[in-house]
Amino acid sequence: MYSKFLIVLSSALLLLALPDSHSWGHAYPAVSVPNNGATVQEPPRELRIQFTEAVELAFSQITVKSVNGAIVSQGKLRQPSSDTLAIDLKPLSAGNYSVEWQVLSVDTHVTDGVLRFTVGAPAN
Amino acid sequence: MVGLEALAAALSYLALALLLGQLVAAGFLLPDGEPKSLRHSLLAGATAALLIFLAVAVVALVIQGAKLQRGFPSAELLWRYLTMAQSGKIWLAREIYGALLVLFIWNVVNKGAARHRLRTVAVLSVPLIASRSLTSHAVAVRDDTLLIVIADAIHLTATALWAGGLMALWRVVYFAAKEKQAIAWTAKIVQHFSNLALVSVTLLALTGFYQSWIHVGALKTLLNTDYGNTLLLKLVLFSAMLSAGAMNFLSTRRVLARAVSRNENGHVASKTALRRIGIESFIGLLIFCATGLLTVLSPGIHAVHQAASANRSLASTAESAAKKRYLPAEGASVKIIEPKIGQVFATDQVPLSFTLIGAKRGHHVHAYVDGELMGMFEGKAGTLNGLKPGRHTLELRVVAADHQSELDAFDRVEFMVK
Repeated sequence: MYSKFLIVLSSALLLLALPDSHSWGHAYPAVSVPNNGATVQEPPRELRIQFTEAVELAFSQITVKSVNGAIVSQGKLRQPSSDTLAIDLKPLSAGNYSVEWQVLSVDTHVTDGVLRFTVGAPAN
Repeated sequence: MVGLEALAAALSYLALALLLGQLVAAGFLLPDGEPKSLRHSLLAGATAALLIFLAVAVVALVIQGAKLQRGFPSAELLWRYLTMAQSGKIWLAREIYGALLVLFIWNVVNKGAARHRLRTVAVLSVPLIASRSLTSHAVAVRDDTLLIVIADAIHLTATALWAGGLMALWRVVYFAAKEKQAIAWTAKIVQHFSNLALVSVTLLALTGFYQSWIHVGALKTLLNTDYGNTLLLKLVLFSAMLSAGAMNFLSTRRVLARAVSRNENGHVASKTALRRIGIESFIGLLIFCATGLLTVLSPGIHAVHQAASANRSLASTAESAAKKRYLPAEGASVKIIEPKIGQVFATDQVPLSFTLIGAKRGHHVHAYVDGELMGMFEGKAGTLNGLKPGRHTLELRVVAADHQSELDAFDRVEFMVK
């Protein structure tokens, strides 16, 4: 009886200890400005991401990089509302930019990812 | 890491359930005239469970630090987490509360473990269990957060009462069989527990279904996401535990009552009760494992955000706009209540309120200011931040749950920021 109990219990615990193959996090970008994949004509002065959950500012970061890896975000990360983060950008020239984000949500989960946007050549 | 985190969560739930179950058994369920040694044994078990909870919480903190630092966490990072993050502060408060509870139990033991003191400790242990909701998925839900957190707290407490109480009951029945207590005594405590279980099961079923709806949202999500599948497994286990509970409620009590009325020595009846309570307790243990896994999984309702985040097209907005096709509204509509047409605001923060009828497809709204996407709103109100002085056009457009399909349902107003 006890040996059977231990076998089933061990199986349940082993199941829990299986390595993860998914992204398990909880706060995801719902909306970003500029939006992910967007081409904007006017260079944005700030980047803003609204997440699906409230996030902890002290343990969150956003870095915006140009295509050659130079960091173009500047200043302190701001939290205009509990689920939104914003960071100022240096004057951007035309080109592709990546946005690396990592946040800690209020339900203790850490998520990260990359968004992209393009600053297009000004319209004539 | 996820497995470890789930394991720590499951152990933490289990330890708290054992704490409450044994305290409630010692303070409320034991019939008068119980052996003092049993009361002391239950209290010792509760103290051990509390110490295990405190130790597991430390492990959970290190795991949390490792997630943040992507390696073994430094003391500096953990201190920052405990003092600057909401969840860190709650961790610290629960750990201090738990340590104080250990001291209080120690004091109760020294004063002879009187029943009224045991009842006080049992009541004081409830906040430790309920406060888990303050760092759970419930606290991250945008709308009706307080209601959902309260439902989660009730759910956790009811689960701890039922499953923890069952495990304590097994200990008591085992003790009674071993010490050859009168079968009438065993029958009485099983009867007391049945009443408690009935209330607990009703509460946890109601709050459980409510929360499932909040975190899963649709039947499709229940079937197609890891969270949904784990929840299904938990529901299957819950049904099995409920069936075992019904058998104990309808049959085991009768077996014990028959043994009492026939004045039997009750050995066979006790053995039957022990086996059945043991089965129900074991299913409870599996439910804690499933709950631990649910704690670290992303709620099913977020699967659409996860997928949208991963698959969002990299096509330019200009191109997208040119090709933009709105899906038929099919009854969905939105009406902006504030700002009103022509309203003037003195700050760059503009309050927003609206009514949304989602109908078949609508889930939330996207807010465009002067054609630029500024935010999404799932509730009925919010704030538009960082608006420059001047005249602006606000458009709210109804969006499907996938965050990409906008519907042919919108409202538009013009307002002014000074």
